[in-house]
Amino acid sequence: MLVIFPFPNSFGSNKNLDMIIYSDGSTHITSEIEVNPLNSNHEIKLFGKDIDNLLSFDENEYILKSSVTENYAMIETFGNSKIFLEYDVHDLVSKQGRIWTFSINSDNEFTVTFPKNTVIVGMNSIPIDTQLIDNQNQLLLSEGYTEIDYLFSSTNTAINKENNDYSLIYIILISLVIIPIIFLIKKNSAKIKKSSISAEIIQKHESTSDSENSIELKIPEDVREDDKLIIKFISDNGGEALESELRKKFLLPRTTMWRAVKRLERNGLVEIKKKDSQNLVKLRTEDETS
Amino acid sequence: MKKTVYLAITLITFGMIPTIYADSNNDDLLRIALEADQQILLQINSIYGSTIPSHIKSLYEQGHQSVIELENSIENNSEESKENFLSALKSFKQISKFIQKSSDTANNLENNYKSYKDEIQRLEKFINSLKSASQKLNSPIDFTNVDSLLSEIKQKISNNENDTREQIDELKSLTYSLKQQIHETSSHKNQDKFINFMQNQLDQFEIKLQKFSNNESVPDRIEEIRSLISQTRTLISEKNFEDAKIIFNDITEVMKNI
Repeated sequence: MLVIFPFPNSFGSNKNLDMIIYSDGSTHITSEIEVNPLNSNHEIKLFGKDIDNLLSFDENEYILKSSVTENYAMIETFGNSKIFLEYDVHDLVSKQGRIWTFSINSDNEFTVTFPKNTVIVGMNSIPIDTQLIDNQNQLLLSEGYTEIDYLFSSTNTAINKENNDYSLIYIILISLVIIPIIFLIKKNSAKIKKSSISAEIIQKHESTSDSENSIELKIPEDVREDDKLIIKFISDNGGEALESELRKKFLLPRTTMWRAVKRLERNGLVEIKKKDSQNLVKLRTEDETS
Repeated sequence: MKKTVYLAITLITFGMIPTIYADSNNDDLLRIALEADQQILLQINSIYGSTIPSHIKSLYEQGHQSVIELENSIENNSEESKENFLSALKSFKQISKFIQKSSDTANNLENNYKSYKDEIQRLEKFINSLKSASQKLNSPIDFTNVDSLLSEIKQKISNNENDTREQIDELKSLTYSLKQQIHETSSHKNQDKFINFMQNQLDQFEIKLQKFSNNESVPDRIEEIRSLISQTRTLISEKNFEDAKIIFNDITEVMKNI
């Protein structure tokens, strides 16, 4: 007799996988994992064997029991369909001489953020997306084997400096062209003045609107300090911000920011709406919160 | 001074690093390639000085050429620019392999590279996650000792005092015991959810067993599973959840293989 029970094996893939490399080469990993709600526990392969500070949460941010054996974590998931995992791993980065090498084989796409003031000097794949945030390279990479060499640079501003030198030349050249034009424009000042005044008015109006956009807030004292900063940023941003903007601003992994936003939502401080398939986080007004 | 002269000569020989950036997302690819070009050149000069081996020189020329082509292709052809980016970074990667080999010490990451500052940053992140979990549970877990030890260590690190190892270990131990406490509270709060899950699953198992009860080839196993289910129910009613989990996991395994 062959009996097939519905134990789907399509669970367990890492979603929203984010990695942050510290300057000593250790890496902080956060991920969201879909698990079979009918299973009592779920075994997860970790990215490395030298693991520290592993925590797993369910969707309500309740901590789940977990144990680590070599590069596997066993999480008690009883009835949950989605869990969040975060841990530090010390063997994803190796160092030889001045060159540090980050290597990983991932089944899913992931982001990796490099330490401040590092320069990538070699890699075996093309990133899907790249950003420079607060002097830190953040790459979005495809699944598969990735190896990236980097080093700490004491001269990483050299290109910018060189650019600045060139920029100075460009500014002088542009000034030589622009000054006579301004002179000519001034001759027709009546016409131009009118339009520039209206431009000024528009600018003033815009800047007034900007300052109006900042919302006066009374943040409850029991809100975490890092959450207060998020609220402050949203407030300064006119009362709303995309979750992706918050991640960029605070340089937090997706799952960490998601949890922070959910925390604020539970506290009644924000509401989460969908905008072009992205999460728009809006501050709730006092009327709404009361 | 000598190195600067070599660098200057090499820059003249290989051409100046291009400096004009495009506006698209490829900007960052170009930026990374330019930085890599510059850093690899600095490394080559600092290691080999005026006697750059020909294979390194050739690899650098290839990489540098790809950076120039990347810059030229960046506004028009994104596929070509990606190829140029990859080609440049692969060439520079090969050079970094040679540089690594020529380094005096070629070891994997060792403990002496680990920084207390980073370790404390990670631990602080971990503590913050625990605080958040504790807050969620409304549990009266006291973080005062952890907080004061953490700030003491951070102060020492900022004063460049190196005798923090023992304190960091103590902080870790304190933190892990708090994690244990939070987990116990969490398990207690999740008890109803856990009991519901177990009972629903056990009911499902029994329904399935009923369907197979007429099958003559596996009656013993079915009886065995029924007995295990009954034991699990008893353990749950006695609130012996840890043992109930163990037997439940056994049942799940047996059900998979029946």
